Amino acid sequence: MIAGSLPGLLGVALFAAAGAGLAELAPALRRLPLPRRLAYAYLLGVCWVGGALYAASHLFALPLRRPAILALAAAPILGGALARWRRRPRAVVVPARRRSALDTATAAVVACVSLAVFAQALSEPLDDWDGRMTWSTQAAYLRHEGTVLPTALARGRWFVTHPQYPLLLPLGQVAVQELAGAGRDEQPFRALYAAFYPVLLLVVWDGARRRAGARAAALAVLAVAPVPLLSFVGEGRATGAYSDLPLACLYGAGLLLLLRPRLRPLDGLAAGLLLAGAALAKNEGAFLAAAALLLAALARAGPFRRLRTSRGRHRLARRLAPVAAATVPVVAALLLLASWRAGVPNRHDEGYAALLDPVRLPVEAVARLPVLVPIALERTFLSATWGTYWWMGVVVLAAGWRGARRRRGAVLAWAAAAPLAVGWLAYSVHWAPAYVAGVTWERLLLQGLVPAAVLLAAALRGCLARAAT
Amino acid sequence: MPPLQPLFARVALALIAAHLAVALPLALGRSAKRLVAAARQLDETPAEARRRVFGAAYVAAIEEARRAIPVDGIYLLVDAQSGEEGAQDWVRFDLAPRRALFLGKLADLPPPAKLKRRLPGGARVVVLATGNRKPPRVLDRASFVRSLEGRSE
Repeated sequence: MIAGSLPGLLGVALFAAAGAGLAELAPALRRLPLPRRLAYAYLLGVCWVGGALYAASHLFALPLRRPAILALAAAPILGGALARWRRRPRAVVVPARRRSALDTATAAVVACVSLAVFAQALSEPLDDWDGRMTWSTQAAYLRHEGTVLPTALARGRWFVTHPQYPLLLPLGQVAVQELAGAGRDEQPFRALYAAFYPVLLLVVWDGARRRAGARAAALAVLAVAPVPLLSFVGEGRATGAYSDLPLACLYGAGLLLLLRPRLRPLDGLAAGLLLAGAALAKNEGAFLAAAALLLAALARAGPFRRLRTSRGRHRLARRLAPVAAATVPVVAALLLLASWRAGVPNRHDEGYAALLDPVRLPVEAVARLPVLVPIALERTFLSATWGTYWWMGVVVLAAGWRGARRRRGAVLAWAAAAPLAVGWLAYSVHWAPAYVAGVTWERLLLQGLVPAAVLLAAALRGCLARAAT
Repeated sequence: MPPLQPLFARVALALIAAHLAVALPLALGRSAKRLVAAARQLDETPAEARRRVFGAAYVAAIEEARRAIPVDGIYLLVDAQSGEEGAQDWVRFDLAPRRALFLGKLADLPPPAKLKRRLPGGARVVVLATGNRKPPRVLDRASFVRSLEGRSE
């Protein structure tokens, strides 16, 4: 099956190339070293190609076929090439930084496990739960009719689970399958999901280096890389076709980009594109995108006493400009999603909006804790899927919290907790909270893993410094 | 006696060292196994891979259903599992983009005479999902209703 699925790697390359074009336009991204720039580029490419196909199919009835996919991917590639050519970079020779042995070992581990993830994804037929029940079945309907409103979704009589789930990843699947000219049982699209494994680790590495330095960053990546849930085991792994790992990457990368200093509005737009992708990847992505914008705004605003002077207000406006720019693609994505959903009758879905009772919600949120907390603890420390990651993580965070707090630790902690808060709300209104918590809690932890791992790196730095005293 | 904070930091570092010592060899071992397995399956066709994972009987039944229902066509889907194994979703995935009209659980269906009148028009084929990796049964409408009559007797 590997030979027939290899064209999936071309799809991955196309997403990365389209995103590399976009990254050329964002000053904060184009300065990154190549591997980390490629990770952001891949995410941007998935958002651009998937989002543009979503909008073009829904608004202009553009067929989801190879010419449209290639044209939409070519636009940012040409734009990026043009921007690079216009800048005409001077031939400055930057002395190559010597890589530490720890960095080399970390890169080797990431490369080795990534290779195995790709090999497994491209050699085994898809056999996970949601990947088959929802995401890949939706992709088959989309591809067959070449539209985001195929008959199966648009007419209420057909049996489709979660028909209103956002379609970014199914559209990514369609793009890869179309580019590969794949038959029904060929699955080159699996490479799309496998790529999120190294991408998540590279995004963590980038964010952690910035906040905690090279040594703690490499250790944090080494700690996350072997987590079985990320690669081979459980629901949500990179060798399956769930949307949780992509959402984790998009949410984490968008947030970390917005937390960088000295951002330009174009950097904000790039972060906004990532968060728009999060909103189009899963239902809870809309909440996480909003949480990322809010947390970034609070972190960038600084103390409110600065508002007393006009200089302070001016400075604040400049610091918040990237967040404002990031809001534009997110709002556009939410409007697109609402417009598309208007044409899709909902069925075979929990329908959380209808379950929401603002009076009962706070009561149930507390009353259900005795049922939910043991399940959450059991799933968090489950060795089959998380290994010893959270056992170690909790102690490191406790020991290094003082150091982490100085490095935006509170923002990262809130960001890691945001998916859990969304889940808690859902469990508070669901008719079978214990069941739904049991099957989703680990994926919520996964969705917040990027900020959690960067926080771990910051705490590790604190531990390393303190242990040396 | 060292102060408490550096001691706590050293415990945390020891814990991360233990985590890496346990988790990294496991992850690398798992990766090596996956690479060896993938290398063995290099020339496998998608059909062979599906037979290996889901079983020859399941794949043959899906192929039969695909032949019986045109790719643009529709079919009636029945959940005939004894438990909740998601079989109706796996069958629907394997038959997509063919569209399914879901009749519900086999045990909950109305008596054959009533069901015959209520069966939606247009769909000639009925697919019964029998369990995870168990071959679905593929019947035409009349045979399906007859099979229910036989059962009710």
